[in-house]
Amino acid sequence: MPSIQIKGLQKRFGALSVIDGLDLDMADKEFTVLVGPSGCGKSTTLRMVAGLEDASGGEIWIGNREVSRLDPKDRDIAMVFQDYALYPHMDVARNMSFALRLARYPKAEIDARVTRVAELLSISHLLSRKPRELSGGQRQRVAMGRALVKDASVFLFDEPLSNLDAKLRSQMRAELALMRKRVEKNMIYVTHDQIEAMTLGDRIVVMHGGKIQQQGSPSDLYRRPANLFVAGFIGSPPMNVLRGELSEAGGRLCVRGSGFDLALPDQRGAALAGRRDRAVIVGLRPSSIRSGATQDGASSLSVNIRLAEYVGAHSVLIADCGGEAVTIEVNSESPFASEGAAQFWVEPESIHLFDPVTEAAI
Amino acid sequence: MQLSDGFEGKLMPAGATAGAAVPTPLRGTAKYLPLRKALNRAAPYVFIAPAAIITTLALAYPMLQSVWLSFRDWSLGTPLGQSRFVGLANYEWLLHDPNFWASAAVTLTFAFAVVVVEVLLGVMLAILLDRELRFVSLFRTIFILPMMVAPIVVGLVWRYMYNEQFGTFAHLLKALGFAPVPWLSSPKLALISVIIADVWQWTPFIFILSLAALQSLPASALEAARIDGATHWQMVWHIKVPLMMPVIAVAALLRLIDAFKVLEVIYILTEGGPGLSTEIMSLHIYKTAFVSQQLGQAAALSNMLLLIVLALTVIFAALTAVRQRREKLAAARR
Ligand SMILES: Nc1ncnc2c1ncn2[C@@H]1O[C@H](COP(=O)(O)OP(=O)(O)OP(=O)(O)O)[C@@H](O)[C@H]1O
Ligand SMILES: [Mg+2]
Repeated sequence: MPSIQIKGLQKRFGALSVIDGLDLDMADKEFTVLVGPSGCGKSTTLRMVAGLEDASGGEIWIGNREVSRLDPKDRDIAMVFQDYALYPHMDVARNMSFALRLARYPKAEIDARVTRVAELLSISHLLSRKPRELSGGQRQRVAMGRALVKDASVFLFDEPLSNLDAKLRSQMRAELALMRKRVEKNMIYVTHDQIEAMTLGDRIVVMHGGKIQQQGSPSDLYRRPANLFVAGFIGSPPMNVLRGELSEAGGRLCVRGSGFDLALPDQRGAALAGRRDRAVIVGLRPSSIRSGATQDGASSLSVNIRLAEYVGAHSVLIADCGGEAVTIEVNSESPFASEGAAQFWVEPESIHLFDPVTEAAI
Repeated sequence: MQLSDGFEGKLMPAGATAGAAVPTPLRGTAKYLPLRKALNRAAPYVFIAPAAIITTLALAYPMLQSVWLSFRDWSLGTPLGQSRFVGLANYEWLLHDPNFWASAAVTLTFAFAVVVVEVLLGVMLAILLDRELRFVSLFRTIFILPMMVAPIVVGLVWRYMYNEQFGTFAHLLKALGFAPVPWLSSPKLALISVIIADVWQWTPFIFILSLAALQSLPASALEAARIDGATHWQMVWHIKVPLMMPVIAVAALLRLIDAFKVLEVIYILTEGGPGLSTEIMSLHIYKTAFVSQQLGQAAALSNMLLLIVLALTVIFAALTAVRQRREKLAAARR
């Protein structure tokens, strides 16, 4: 079965090294999302898998074939481009059937496949239109349809939704999620939008500066980010980052800084033993900050609320804690002064700690 | 082959936004609104006007003069005032003149032959040289050079090369052990030789336009085709050439119109000979005017040439329109 393996993949443009030793294993039928900030090498990686870009080093295996020296057409792949890349002079049906016509499939089979995929994507009524007569969302579907018609074993997507407006994007995202259930294929999906990554991926690969920062399931990445970069990249609004110091008071482990004194779970004691009285970076998810104070007063976060943004079911508070900006998500039902001092606490289990030098999670 | 396609599309929205942007601040002074609107609507014509006026003057005056002249009998060297009105006599003469029909045939053969060969060669060269290899940019420059040489010089150079005793080709053939070829003195070969010279000079025109068209093709569509399994030549045939077609069509039309008016190179190479074998219409007109000194007849001749070129352009435009209409109908029917 065609699992995909990437071993020590490298890419240099002249003296510039863009990808430097990338290793990645994808199981069969897995939906892998490459996510990262602009310029981190996601597209380059995907294009090397597609064969549009030659690898400067390393191997790419699809199933039991090493494909990194093969032509794109011999790799059994289909790709959806960011700008759709439809053939402007062909109507939708001919766009979708181009690969099959080149491969000399019988006409009946071509028609059958195009019809089936067009129904799947609800574009049957567009088959005789030229790309320029379609809206952005329709072009997007046609591009998707062209890839599906090929029935390749690997699907590659390079930011397929980024040219759509926000509403259409979330709609297409939902449709993609549905389609991905019906079409059981290997898919590699590139995006810089972490929400797309979280909602679509079985496995998310976070890249930064040509290196993999962390890979795993969406909840892995959300709950146990491996380093500060991943912690800040995954999750919206992003995690709050505060400087603090580990200490032990009355046999209880806690992390302190200006404006906060937060209790940590007892079971972390052993792992943190060597870091007592040393500086750490504290990561707090806006959603794990609770209003009020604990009975024992063991955990407290004192902030000065500057602004409350009403979003609907919840509100986002923009506050200030010892000189650092903090965002807090609260239930809109609970009464909140939109400005002024307020008291919060944080669930001990949801506190993230990072080494101030290596930025790795502790 | 969509000459008019982009223009209408672009002009309309521009005018529409200009009109839409006005109302809000002017709402209070409603009586100025129609004036504003009218001005907005007039703006494109105002901008086009200077060019239109100059073109009309520079084009219409000589054209009308030539039409007027074609109804008169005027010999070179006599005052224009002494010329006689002869009605349609000049046209009657040329329709019965076998030389006119011969030169019309030569002109058509020449024009279509050069356009076909130049388009094929130019597009092929562009496709071959559309890649990033070393020396390719040098080749590109070299291929463009012939176009920059003045036609008179082209004529002289080729006349020398074709010379049967000491020309370049004669030397080459002799060195290779072949019999000499009567490039310009054989009625059968002369037209071909003339065509070769024109192809040499004007293929670069098609070449640079095709190259520019190729380099502005959407890169991702070509990549999509690679992934869809197209080989190099399938890509050329199914993607590149169809997408270049509008540019190729316009370039070919420009060349065709130009080919009908070519004069200098042929004049220097053959002076229309041997016999009438290379006497294209512009040369025939020239000879009628300045050798036979029949200016009225020459005017009638040049009007005929104008009509032929006009007819070709109209046919071309009509074909484009018909094709577009058919496409729209086909899309609507499905
Ligand atoms: N052909 C090229 N020549 C030189 N450098 C390149 C080339 N293509 C990409 N790069 C560089 O490689 C790096 C990674 O580019 P890549 O397109 O993979 O980024 P990306 O992660 O897809 O970003 P984005 O989210 O903006 O699309 C960038 O720094 C870019 O400047
Ligand atoms: Mg990219």
